[in-house]
Amino acid sequence: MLRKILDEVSHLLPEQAPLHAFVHHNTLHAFEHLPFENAVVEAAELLGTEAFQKEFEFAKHLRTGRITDVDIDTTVESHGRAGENEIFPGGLTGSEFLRARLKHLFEVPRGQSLTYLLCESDLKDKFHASMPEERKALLLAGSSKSESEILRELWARLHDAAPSRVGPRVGEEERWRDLLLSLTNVDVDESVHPLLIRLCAAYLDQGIAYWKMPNRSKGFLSSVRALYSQVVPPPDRAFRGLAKAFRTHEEERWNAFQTISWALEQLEVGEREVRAYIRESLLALRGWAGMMKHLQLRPDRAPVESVPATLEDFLAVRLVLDVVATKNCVAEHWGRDARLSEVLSSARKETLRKTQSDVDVELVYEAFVLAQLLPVDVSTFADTRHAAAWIEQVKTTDDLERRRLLHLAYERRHRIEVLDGIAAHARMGNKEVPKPVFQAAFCIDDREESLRRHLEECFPAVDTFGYAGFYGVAMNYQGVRDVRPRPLCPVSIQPSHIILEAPVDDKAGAQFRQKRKRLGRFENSLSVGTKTMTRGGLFSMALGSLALIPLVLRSLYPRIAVAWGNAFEHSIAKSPATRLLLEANDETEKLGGKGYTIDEMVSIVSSALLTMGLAEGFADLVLIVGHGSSSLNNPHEAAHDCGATGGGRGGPNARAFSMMANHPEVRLRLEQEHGLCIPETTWFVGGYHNTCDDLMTYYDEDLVPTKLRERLSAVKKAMSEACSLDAHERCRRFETAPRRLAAHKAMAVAEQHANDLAEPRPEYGHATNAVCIVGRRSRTRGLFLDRRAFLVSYDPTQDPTGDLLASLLLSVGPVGAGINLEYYFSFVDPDGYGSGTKLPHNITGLIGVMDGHATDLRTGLPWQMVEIHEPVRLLTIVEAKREVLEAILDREPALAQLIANGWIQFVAWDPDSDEMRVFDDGVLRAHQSESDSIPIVQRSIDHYKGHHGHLASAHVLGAFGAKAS
Amino acid sequence: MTENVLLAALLGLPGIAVLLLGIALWGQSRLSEQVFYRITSLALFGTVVCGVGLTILLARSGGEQITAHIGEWFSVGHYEFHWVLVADKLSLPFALFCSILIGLIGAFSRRYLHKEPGYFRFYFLLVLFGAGVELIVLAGNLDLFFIGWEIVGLTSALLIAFFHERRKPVEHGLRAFITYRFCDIGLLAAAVWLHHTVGNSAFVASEAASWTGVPVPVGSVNVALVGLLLLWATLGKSAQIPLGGWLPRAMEGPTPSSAIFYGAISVHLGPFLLLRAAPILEASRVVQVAVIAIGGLTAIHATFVGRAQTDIKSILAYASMTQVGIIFVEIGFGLRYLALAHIVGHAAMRSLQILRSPSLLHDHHHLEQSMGGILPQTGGHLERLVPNFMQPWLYRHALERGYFDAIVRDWIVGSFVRVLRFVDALDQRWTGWLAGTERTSVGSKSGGDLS
Repeated sequence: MLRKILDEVSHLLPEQAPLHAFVHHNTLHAFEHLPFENAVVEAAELLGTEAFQKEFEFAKHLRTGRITDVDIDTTVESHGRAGENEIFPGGLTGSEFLRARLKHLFEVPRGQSLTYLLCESDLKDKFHASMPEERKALLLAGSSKSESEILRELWARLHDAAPSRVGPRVGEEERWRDLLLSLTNVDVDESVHPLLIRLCAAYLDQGIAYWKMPNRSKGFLSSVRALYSQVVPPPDRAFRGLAKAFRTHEEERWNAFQTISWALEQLEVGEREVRAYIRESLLALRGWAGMMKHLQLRPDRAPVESVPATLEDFLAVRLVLDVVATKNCVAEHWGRDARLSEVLSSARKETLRKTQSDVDVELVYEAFVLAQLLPVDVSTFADTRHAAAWIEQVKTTDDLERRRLLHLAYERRHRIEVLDGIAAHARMGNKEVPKPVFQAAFCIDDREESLRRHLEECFPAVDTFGYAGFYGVAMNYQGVRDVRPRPLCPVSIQPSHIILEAPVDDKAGAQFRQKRKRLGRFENSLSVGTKTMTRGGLFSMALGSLALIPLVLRSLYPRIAVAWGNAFEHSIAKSPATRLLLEANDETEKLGGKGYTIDEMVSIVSSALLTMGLAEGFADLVLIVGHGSSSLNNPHEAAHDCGATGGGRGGPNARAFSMMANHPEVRLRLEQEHGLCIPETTWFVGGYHNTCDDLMTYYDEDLVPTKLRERLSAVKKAMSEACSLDAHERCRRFETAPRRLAAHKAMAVAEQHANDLAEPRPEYGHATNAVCIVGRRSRTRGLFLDRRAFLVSYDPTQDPTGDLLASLLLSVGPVGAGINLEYYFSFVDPDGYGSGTKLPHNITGLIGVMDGHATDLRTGLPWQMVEIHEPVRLLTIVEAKREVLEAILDREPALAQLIANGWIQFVAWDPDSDEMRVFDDGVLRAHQSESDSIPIVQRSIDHYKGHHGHLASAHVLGAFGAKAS
Repeated sequence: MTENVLLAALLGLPGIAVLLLGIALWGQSRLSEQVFYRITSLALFGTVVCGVGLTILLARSGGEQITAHIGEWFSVGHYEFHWVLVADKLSLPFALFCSILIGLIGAFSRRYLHKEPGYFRFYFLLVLFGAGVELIVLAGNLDLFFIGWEIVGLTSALLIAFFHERRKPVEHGLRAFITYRFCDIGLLAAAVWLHHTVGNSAFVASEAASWTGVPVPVGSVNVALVGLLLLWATLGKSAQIPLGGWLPRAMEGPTPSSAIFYGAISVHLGPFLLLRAAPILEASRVVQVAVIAIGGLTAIHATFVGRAQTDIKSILAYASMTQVGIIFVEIGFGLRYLALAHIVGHAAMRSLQILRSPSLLHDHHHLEQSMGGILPQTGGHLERLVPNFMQPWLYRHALERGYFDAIVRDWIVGSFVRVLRFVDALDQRWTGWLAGTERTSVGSKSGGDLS
């Protein structure tokens, strides 16, 4: 029974992996069975978080025109829950009220501040500040009374008609801690949490502590019991009796569930309340509980060594501490013999006696201000029924309902602009593109959108493609420097292959390792030694002052610091040339790898090429580019890596894919079995794009046929030009970058951001992601999408049945939605869903960050990563026939849930015409264009230069090699 | 004359910056981040230049010290408050080193705190801290020293509570502040006792050390008393036992301020005061033993506790505490130049480590790659040396940070509060009886305590 409850409520816990394996996922994954709009509200209530942006933020969007009146009117019409009936005879109708209410956003002071304003300000004597002059004049003209008299009368009438507030509920709190806090002002969690956090951190530690917790292999509960059942108990008054309790449990040999049952009994939790009690107990320290659960399910994700963590052990320890601390708190206030239930019943009686019904003044205030601002005849409130109806209307249009509608309006404006931009771009007509000299495939990542665009502008004789950045090569990979293999594939796949990178020359490899190890030993002895007593003293006296050199460089000249550091390391040991052991054979297995068979390679290459739409017209060079990101001062470094490789760096995947596609036997079989003919003259080259400093690395260049070498260097030159422009476009978002940054200086700025100890924003990552376009590049080529779109290559003309599309959407949909929703939630509630500002972050156990020395593990994204994001659901535009899409939705329940429940916005884009249909309430409705103009520029830089914020679409002529006329 | 101007500028430049930034903040002016940064860096750069100039002048003149009498602030009866600054072999290197470090942190924070709502507050507190430190270091008497001491304590507490929208940082800041204030009693009492016995608290040249120091009163009891009071004063700022519990908590502020306060400067101000008090230490065996005992116990305590910590900032906090403990021991043994070298080396190294702590995952990965395997197990010799039955006990002791928190909270402060509550309850009962209204409630705190 308990196990079942635990399993169910544990879904509410954050699912974040240890930081080194960070993968974006929908923060509210547990709520995906509900429609988005309901899910966020339900989750907000359960988790104490925000569902949408706050109202003052929406007010700002209204002011700046980010939300227009048209958006509000249309949204109220389609999604408002108010009827067309008049609120009272002769008054506004429900939807008129709603429309007007959404355009008049103002702050309602709460509690004491309202009391203060009522007593001390001219609230009831002066019209509201945002009231238009005409309305003031109208009200004054319509009556013989003065401003003050009108307002005071209005207030009195509304006050009389207002309902009373629901009194505070005592005894309905989920946990004893809440009741005790309200009764005694003592917070039991203040005693329990510091200890529990320390224990969790010590138990899960992956190698930060010098001295590890003893007996970890026996499980969390046992090792805590062993520590705390010793004869000398801790001196905390809150934990008197803890050692005794643990000793008894130990003697009884209770497992976690028996311990939990005992604790629930001690806490006198009724059978019906067990579920809620367990839920709240876990959520009170959700980060640590979630990590316990995560490592229970995925022990392989532990960065160094796995420990047998279980959620039931965590709950058992937590509840035992709760029992002891609660009982001590009760004993301290009501005597040793007091029972919990007695405390509860006397508290209930007390509050019942005290509670009197009082008027909900905040509601009266809101109704009062609205009566001034909205076009309503105030004299009509003389009738109490009218006043009551008005108040009722104000009450139903509460904060959450307003924000829901404003959010929809906010998304609508973005959607209209993007779709109009695409339509206008299409109207510019398809331009002739030169025959490709090379082709390049990139990850679908939104950060590669700009790189592809700039590449097309610098070198129009190129075709670019977008494919999930692991290129179908799902493997465990161990590079020549790596200590252990790590999976490089989407998290949903458990790879069975182990691909090793081996030095070409064994001797050079061994030498390299040896030299590095010598340096490593020295670094390690410094890192350990400086923190101990004797060695620390000697080190700091003898060498400490030398730290001034890096301190000066890191603070004042971060780029020099990096350059010197790299040069030093390079001078000690140069990386040897390497190859991947890709094929399944004896040699690979001897070294502990597990390679691919020709069959597997054929299927990987064919499905990638077919899905991308690269089945014919191969150029001589095909570049396959993976990506990742490397940065300092960034515990969330892995969050900037490639999501398709499970938070890894996708270079090896691109390299492996290229090797497969170059394999003569694979090519032969491709032609025989799939009719896919890769000409002999064509060569695939793997590459790696670091999205943080915008540098490219190429693999196995020495294998490129001699006659293509020259071509390759031209390609590399074009790529490096594109990378530098990409860096330039990226830098416009950094406020620390110079406003008028010259294009050739951008690489330096990017490099500094990546390697600066003082830089909390090494890159903005996926922030601003908002769109996903699945379709042919020819239809989006030359369209400026502001690095906000995932671009997935797909050719609907080659896929009449929609089978390719279905599997593509099944992989792209959840990944894109996961990234987008994580940003959504971390933005709308940076403290509840995100991990707040990263400035006080403190890495604990190598698995996560805390805010200080003992807080909950912070999950979600830090504010510095999301601050420029626009929280809209991913606008997924799929180029496919409506019938094909509808059939796919019918047969793929996973996709249907994502789309029908509105976790993404879905648009069908007709392959043969410009028609676009937006999925809304189960129907694909035609998109109504609002504007058909689009700026036309020669190069992207002309469009974004000097701008800092989000930019609308533009038509870029340069991408077609065309000149502006 | 030039010397006096330079000496005054060492303190005056950060002081002027404090005024400028303070006025800008008070007037809610919309100065840019850039301007705040410029003012701060100019002031600190200027301080460094003055420090260098003064060092050259002092070296050239071959003198022992430069003293600048700036004036008298006020006088009450026999008491006169003098503004006297002293540059000697202790204060000048210290002042120079501190202004370099603070300047570096200022430059570092420009990027680190960019776009943070508290950016302006941070820079204001940083220059205020700089002014406070210069005042401590250059003060020519204990009264002036006390002012700097207070400023440093205040800025430290305010920066711990930097993220004041959350509850915990504020609690931690308050805790540090209370600890500081409790220890300030020692400093104030020492100053008062010096005035009482010597007549003033001006630092005087002494044979014990090659720099000016706290005047030595007549009578061994007086000397020991002043010495112990000064030692008491250092316990808070330098996080020595039993009052060091605030130090790991202080890491909840922004990383750069943690680095400059708790890695570099603030924690070393205790040893600085003891260096100033060298004549007293020389004159009293009791004080020497007390300093060595406190430092030694702190070092042993902190190194054990540090070894069981699992988050990088707590480890660095305890590592700092360990080294400061050793510095206390060195000073106790009269190894003053060694202590000075230790302070400089430790401050530079530890602040760099704290600044680097958010990159730990990156560095750990890098280190593993260099070593070609998982990092060697640590703690082995602890497990060999400590008998088996003691291990869990010692581990728990270390994990719980020596239980100092619980002891201070539940037994020292707690007992005091319980006594007060008891008296309060008696009082209520008494007045209730007088007024003829017996209390009936059992739910409330005071009623509960009596029942």
